[in-house]
Amino acid sequence: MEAEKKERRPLHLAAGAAALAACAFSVLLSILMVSSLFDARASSPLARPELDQWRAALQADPANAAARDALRSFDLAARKMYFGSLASLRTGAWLLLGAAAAALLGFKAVAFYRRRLPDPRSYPQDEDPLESAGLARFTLAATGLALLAGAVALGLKARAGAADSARRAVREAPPLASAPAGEALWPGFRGPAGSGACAFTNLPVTWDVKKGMNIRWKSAVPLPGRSSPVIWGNRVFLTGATKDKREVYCYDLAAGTLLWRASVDSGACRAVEVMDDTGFAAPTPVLDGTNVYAVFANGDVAAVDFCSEPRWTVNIGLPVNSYGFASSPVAYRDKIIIQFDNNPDKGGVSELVALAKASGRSLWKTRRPVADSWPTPLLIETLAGPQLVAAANESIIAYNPDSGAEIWSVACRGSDSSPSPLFAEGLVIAPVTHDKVYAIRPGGRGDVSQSAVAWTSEDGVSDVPSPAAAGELVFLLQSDGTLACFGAADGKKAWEAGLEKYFYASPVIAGENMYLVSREGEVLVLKAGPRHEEVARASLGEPSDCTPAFAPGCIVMRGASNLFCIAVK
Amino acid sequence: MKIYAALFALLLAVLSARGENRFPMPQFESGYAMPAAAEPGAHPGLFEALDAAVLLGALSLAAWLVLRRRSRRGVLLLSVFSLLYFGFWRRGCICPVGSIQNVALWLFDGGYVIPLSAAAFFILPLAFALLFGRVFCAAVCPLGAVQDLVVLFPVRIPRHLARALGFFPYLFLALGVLLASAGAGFMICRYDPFVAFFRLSGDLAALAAGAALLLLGVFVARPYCRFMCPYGVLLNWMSRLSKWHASIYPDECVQCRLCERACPFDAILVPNSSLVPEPREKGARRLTALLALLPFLALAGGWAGASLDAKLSANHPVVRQADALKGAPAASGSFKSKMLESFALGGGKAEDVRARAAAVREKIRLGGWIAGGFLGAALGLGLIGVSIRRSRDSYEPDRGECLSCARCFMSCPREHLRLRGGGKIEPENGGAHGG
Repeated sequence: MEAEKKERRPLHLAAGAAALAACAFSVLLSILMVSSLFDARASSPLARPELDQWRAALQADPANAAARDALRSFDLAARKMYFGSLASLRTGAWLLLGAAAAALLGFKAVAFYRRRLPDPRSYPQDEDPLESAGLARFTLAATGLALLAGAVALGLKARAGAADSARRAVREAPPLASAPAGEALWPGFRGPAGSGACAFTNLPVTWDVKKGMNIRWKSAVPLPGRSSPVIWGNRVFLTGATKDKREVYCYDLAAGTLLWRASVDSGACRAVEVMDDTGFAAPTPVLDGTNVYAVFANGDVAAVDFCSEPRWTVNIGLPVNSYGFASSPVAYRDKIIIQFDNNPDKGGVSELVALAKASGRSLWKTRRPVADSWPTPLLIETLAGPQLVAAANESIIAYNPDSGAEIWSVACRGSDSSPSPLFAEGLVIAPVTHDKVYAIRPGGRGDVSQSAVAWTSEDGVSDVPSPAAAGELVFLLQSDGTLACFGAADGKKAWEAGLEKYFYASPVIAGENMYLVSREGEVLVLKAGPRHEEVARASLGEPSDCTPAFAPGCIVMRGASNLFCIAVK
Repeated sequence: MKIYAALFALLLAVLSARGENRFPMPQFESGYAMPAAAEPGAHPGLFEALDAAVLLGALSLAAWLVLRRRSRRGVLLLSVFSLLYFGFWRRGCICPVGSIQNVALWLFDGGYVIPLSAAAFFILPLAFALLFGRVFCAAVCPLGAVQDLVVLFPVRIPRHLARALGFFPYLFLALGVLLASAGAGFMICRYDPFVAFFRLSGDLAALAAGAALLLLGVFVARPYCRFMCPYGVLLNWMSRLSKWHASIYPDECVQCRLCERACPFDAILVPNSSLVPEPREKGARRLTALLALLPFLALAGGWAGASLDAKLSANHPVVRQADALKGAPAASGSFKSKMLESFALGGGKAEDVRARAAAVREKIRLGGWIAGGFLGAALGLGLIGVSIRRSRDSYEPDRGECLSCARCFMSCPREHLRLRGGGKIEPENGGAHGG
């Protein structure tokens, strides 16, 4: 044995030497490869400062041939270097692998030559089988239990993480979605204060849809609807519905991309009949920076967050009225308040309904002694606190929006009333269709029909469009195109003009201009001043009954099939 | 060994640098129409058939080398060939280990057509294991081959520890099948530790894992095969039932103990018939308790598996998309993330994505119950397995664990006799056993 060992010694040594040589080669090769890699990266033509200079030169003068050629040569050199480096790395990797294999073979040979005869006498005593089995049971059970506990802990953590991320999303949505100063904020029907006015002055007054002049984008709206668009930051929301489908849409204000659409279905599955002029999605949704709250003709109310996640959907009952439900919801603190007026002759009950923003749960309901009507309630701040003014055919009533308790009321005698009230010059100005325009001081309590009405007017009583106010002037538009201007404080008519168009959309005022969208889709821009003065006319190219929404530098308008963003280019 | 460590570290640095080095796309500012991205074509059918044929040939040769020739050298050469062909030439794909996922997806997704090679790579090694033991592991699996070559100084792991570590392949099998069947990706392939070596390129984590396993494999023989390989679980089951399995000795065991330390995988079972057994009543009581525990373990495992639904679902692309839709503003800081833009431009509906994500979550929750139940049952059966004593009079390979590597043959004096006799045992002192 010793002789054999002695005989093999040269082989043993040779194998060891070969293994060490292969190792040394591998190390050297690796160092070379790594250093060449770093060299290549450090000396890349793309990292040369001249490149930026040539690039700037070409940008300044696109016809600069010298700059173009220089850039091309830099690019070519970089590519040559990159692919050359790839090729050498690949060769190096194969060489390295070969060297590692040679080293392995060498070590194997050494191990082979150093092998010894097995000697069972030197083997340690084998484990006691019973003891070994006991230990195996213990370690196996411990492993299983550890994995079980780990899985449960991981699962709980993942669930907690998901819940936390949902909560975080809700928490973080407002700051992300909130519209900082200078950004767009048109959160509900007729803007932030429900007055149909904003201070933007950088808006276009003319455009051409066919030629694309001042048209930032035009996007199709999947389902029809007469709800108006609302805006928060860089998102535009609106609703659309048919008899069977109800959807909320979110568009990108900058590009008009339909970012998402969310279906709304409370499961109530109640069919409702509506007039074509009203449709199934007439109420304008309202925003609070976190969610969009939408109401539909079948009484479905839904909250969908700004990222399309549905928060809740409820049904407040099947509206019973002559034309179809059209009153828009109002967001107040933690509540969404809906004026839900129904026809008592057909078994309907009129109520003011407050739902929790968080859950859709009903917070309070206040019975209203009125028949079916279509105005959107107006939220105002008075010295005595916030009031929600809801106009209807028989009375104009102010409620405490926190509790739903009635504060004051003014009796009236209208019918089919649709215009929403307005707050201007300290007065609630409420046109009641087929009756009068009422201007009411909101400070009283109880029936203030005799004591708080500052003025009334039988002129300018609108039937569908709601009024708009600019400073001390109030503009009242009738669906037949009669536009009247009154002094808000005294009710004196300043002027009246026949516009010879039909209107359902409410007028809106931006800066000095008033925009009126006719049913044919023609938009009249008038001076919102004490004299009738037309500024411009333009057309959407399709019918529209929707009130425009404003954002800095652009107007968002809904036509019969498309949503338009009009901006000065 | 320091030299080895240094070598591996350098190899790792070089290969990872290769993997991460990418050249930026050219910037064309005018006039150039960027060509549309094209998917690489599928492998020609010829390659599929060739791979399957080579696999069949290699398995047949391995079975012949192990059972008929009893040649360790032949097994070694074949494993080098397999490493070169299936590993470096075919770049580690497809392999039977990953084919489990193809089969799982095919079983649970009616729209998925399993490639011929995937089906062959799944079935053939199992069929051979059922007939001849784990000859695939011995010489055909490139993952096994690369580890087998670096076994230099094997150490024995305490059996109880090996038993516990042997539970992990069940875990990877259950997770791999669960995620693949739900369409959440091929986890086994994603975390294949050696594929980066076969391709001489890959990300740092993959290379580091492979290098670490190879370094470990110098001392702990084939750590991936024994303690991680999900396909090994199936091969283990088949091999236990194998019709013909390699034996340490060619004819009979002379109880010389020479083979006792020959197996680096500790897959040789020693005779125990002469040992004093445990009192029968105590063993029976334990066995009854463990049998009673079995359904509870399966239930607990199922519950734990189902509780991982949120975690596991996050691997699914649809769930990720739904999560991105939900949390995109918070996550990216910009609502118009690329994903959302492409989603919106593609006309996708968020609610559809949410509905599909909910269905995936539900599927994974159900799958979690099944996979967890399987693991719980495997744990219970494992506990029962170590509690049952089987009497042996001679040294035998553990049919489930034995990788048929043929290392033990040459430690047997009867094998030497057989070789001296040209394949037959020469009678010695009147011995009468033929080979």
